[in-house]
Amino acid sequence: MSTSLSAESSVKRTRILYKTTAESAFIPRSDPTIHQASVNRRKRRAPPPLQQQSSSSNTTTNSNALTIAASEGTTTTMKPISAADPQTVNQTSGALVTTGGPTSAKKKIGGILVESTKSKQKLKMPTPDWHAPWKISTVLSSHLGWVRSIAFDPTNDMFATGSADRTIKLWDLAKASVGAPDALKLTLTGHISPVRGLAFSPRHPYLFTAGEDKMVKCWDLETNQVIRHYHGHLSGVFCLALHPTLDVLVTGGRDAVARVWDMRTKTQIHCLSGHEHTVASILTKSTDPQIITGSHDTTVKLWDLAAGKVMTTLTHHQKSIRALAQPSFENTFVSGAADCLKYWQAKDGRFMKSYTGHKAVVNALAVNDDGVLVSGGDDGSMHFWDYKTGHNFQSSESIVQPGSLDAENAILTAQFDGTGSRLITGEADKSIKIWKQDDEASELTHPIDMVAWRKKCIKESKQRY
Amino acid sequence: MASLSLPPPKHSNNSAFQFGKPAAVAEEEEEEETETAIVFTGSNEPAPAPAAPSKPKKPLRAPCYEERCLAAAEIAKMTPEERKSNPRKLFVPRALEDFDDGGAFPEIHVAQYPRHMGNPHLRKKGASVNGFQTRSRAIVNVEVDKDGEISYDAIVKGGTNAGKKVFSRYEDLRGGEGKAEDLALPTEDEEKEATDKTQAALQKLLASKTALNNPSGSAMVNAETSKNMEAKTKFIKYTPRPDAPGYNPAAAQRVIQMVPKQVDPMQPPKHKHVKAPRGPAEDPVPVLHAPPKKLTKEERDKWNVPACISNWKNSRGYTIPLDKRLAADGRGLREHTINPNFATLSESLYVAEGQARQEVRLRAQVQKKLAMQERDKREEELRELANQARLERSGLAAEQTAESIDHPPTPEDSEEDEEEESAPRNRAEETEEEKAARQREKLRLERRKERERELRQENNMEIKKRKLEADRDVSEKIALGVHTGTGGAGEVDSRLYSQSAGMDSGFGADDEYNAYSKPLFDRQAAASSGSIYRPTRGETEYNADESYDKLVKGGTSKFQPSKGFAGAEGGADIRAGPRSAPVQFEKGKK
Repeated sequence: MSTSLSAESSVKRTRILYKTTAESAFIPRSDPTIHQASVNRRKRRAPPPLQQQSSSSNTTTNSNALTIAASEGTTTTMKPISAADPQTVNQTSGALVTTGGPTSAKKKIGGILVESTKSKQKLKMPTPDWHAPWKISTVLSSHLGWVRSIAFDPTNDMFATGSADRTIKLWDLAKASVGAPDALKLTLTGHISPVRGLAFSPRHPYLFTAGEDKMVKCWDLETNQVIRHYHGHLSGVFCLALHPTLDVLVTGGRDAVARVWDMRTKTQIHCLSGHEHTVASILTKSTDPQIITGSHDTTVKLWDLAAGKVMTTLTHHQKSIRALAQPSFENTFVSGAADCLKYWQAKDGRFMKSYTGHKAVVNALAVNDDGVLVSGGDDGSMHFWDYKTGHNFQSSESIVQPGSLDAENAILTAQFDGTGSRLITGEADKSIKIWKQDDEASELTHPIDMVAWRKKCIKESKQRY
Repeated sequence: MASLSLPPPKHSNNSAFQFGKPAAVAEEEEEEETETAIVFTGSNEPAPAPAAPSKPKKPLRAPCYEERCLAAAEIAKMTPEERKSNPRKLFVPRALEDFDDGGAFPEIHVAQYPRHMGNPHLRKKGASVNGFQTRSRAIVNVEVDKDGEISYDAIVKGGTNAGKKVFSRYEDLRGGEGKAEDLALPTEDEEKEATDKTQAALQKLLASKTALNNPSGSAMVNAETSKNMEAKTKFIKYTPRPDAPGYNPAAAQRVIQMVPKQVDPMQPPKHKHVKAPRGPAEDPVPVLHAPPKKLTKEERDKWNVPACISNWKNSRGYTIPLDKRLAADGRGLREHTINPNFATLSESLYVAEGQARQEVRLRAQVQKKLAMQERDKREEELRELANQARLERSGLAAEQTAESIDHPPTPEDSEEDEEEESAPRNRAEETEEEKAARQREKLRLERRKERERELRQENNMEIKKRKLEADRDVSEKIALGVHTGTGGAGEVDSRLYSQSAGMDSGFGADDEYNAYSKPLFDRQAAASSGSIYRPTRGETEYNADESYDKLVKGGTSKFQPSKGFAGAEGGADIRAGPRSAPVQFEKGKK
């Protein structure tokens, strides 16, 4: 009785509501080239992660690996252990590596073994995936304040932005990505403070918003009205997430708790207390831990939703965690703080890797299905990473729109659309920027700087704790 | 006071920690280390016999606070000899069981080692006896992992963290690649299982939470208690003691009816829950990050925000006195340098002004000279004209007289001047009559001119006279009879009108100064029309109405003459009575 609508019928209703066919549901319809590129990319993509990982563990040792052994003259040298593979030889002689392409699809799984003189321990140097560089395509300036939150419609037909000007704007994605003047579909007003959290329900025609005015609202997109309030936060609400399988809403805020709400009855089911500072970001998962929170007290907590208790507290970060992101292809997540990005197993919260290099307060993180991780900094810097290896393949700086101060150059939120072909960032210069991949780029024009990557890997392997 | 049997300390062979221990007890302890009881008495009662091993064990109990205090005080009082000779055993906590609540007894001034923490004697012993030390001194039992190594993280994995995953190892800090099965996305079955489990748990919670919203609060409960009041009523039979104060022998026994108090079901709750109680604190988890980097001096300097320096308040927040402030801000020390351009500017302005004045003066002189020349020229011209006119007139007159003597001029004379010589005969033809007529004409003309001049002079006199009249003083005018006041001269006094009682009543009291029925001039109009006579300032206590009245009455109310005018009617004595007419003077007789 917790939902009056069954899941299927409401999805149907949503589809009808947004007037999309099942064919084009997940592709923006305006640009056929984008569609084609996305289809191609999906074709190129690796097999499911489980198989991929198992194959990688096999291939690492025999086919596609290098041992870097110590010698007298230099600290480390690279020596191929299987000279049969010409690609690998290329890696040693030339600085640049081409790993992409259909022929080398299985080779990019492997890694390189780095042998340190002291520890005699072989460390695997993973080979990063190649990703096309991203470039800005459209700037939408309609908001009158910082754009603090972005959410995509499940049909990928439109997206919503919440801003410090207290409004929520709904945009047509296809029109917005070509910069059409009628891209703005609707402006919703009702919050009295910046809108910090947004989420479209995949099963209902509902939009959930959370604001710094302690309010969490449920909007009915059929009537564009607020139909529910989730009352209980003692201070501003900073983040909001919907449970993927249950009709449950999780919000976190400045009162250092995450609250779990029943969507229909508006009852607070749990108050997940344990953080000592603002809860800045929330992830929800279908399996345990079903809730992951990142907080300004520099910890990530994994919660048992059924019991409402902490499962694990992760204390690896030195600075406050403002962003969390999880991909759709792997049971992992990334947390972003001012010191570094960290890559975790989502199942038990085991720490796997630090992605260092983004010297800024990381406000936003987003991952797409192709394994591109974006971190947006408080100084307008954007770093694009290969999700699995942590290779930073592109660092760019956002450009403020004319008339803004330099200090207003900050990425506050970032989201990939449903296809992963568009990146939308909300910025402190009151603009919404849409980024897309450079279609003309290839592995030849934008090769991976393998020397720098190797140096970085060796340096990180030598790091003492 | 009851005597207690308490367990002895587990360790033996250490007489330094045993006060006044009899030899028998010491032996006994050596026999049975753990369970023998010692006897403690806190009073002066004779000590009972030491507990025999065969005696049934009493339940263990730590001495209460008073007992411990007394014991400590007694030990302190005793001399060492007394202690030695004292057959009684004093309580000293030694065994683990003595510290059953976990802490040392502060009243007993003996080194105590609860849970054997920091016990130096045990350390010595532990060196010889393997395993004893670790077992007895550890707060947490040391656990050994499967490799036989001590797991030092047992302390953080216990307590509230017992059911949780705690990362405490070096590998957790270091990271590493995940296993494929760990990184795999959950299968649909797993998802469904987790969802069902969670949903069931949440539904249960939700049901209990929504049940709270149903009306089943304290008011309902109270109403229930009120409803079944009769069922809850109890009867108690009560027999008072005969020796109790206020005992009534008439009522040897009473029956008490206990009735629950009636409660208003609509009463709001008396207590309001403001704050939810805080949950139990969680045990900390190991911090797996490096301590924050120490800031370098440059960075610290960058963040250093200097305190606000105020001119008005010192660093403690007290107000700085004005003189100190002025002295401190160095305005006395400041040297005012005035830009020399000011001097040059004023100098040049001065010079320019002088020049300009000089020029103006010169120009004025020139103009004046020119004007004078012009005037001279004009005057010269006028003089010439006048001369000419005079000459013409006199010349004509002379000519005329000469001619009138020779030949009297004719009216056509002037016209026929040129013709004179051409026609001398006509002149000669003038008769005597014509001459006489011309004479008369001339006289007539002169007289007319004279009359005109007289008339002119007369007009001039009129203007002068008018001017003189205007300049005349009021009193002069009155004296001359030009001015007669507003009422008009010779009229009957207005006060005489509309009086029923005639003169006696109309003029009021005799001592009143009301010589005039009306002011001489209409000052009322002047005063009311404008505020010219209203005083604007000068009086501290200014009463507008009073001064207005004064003005209305006129200046006379202010100035009361003390004596009359000498030589006037009534004479100098003012008491003769009020005047009825203006003062009139007469020339004094010599």
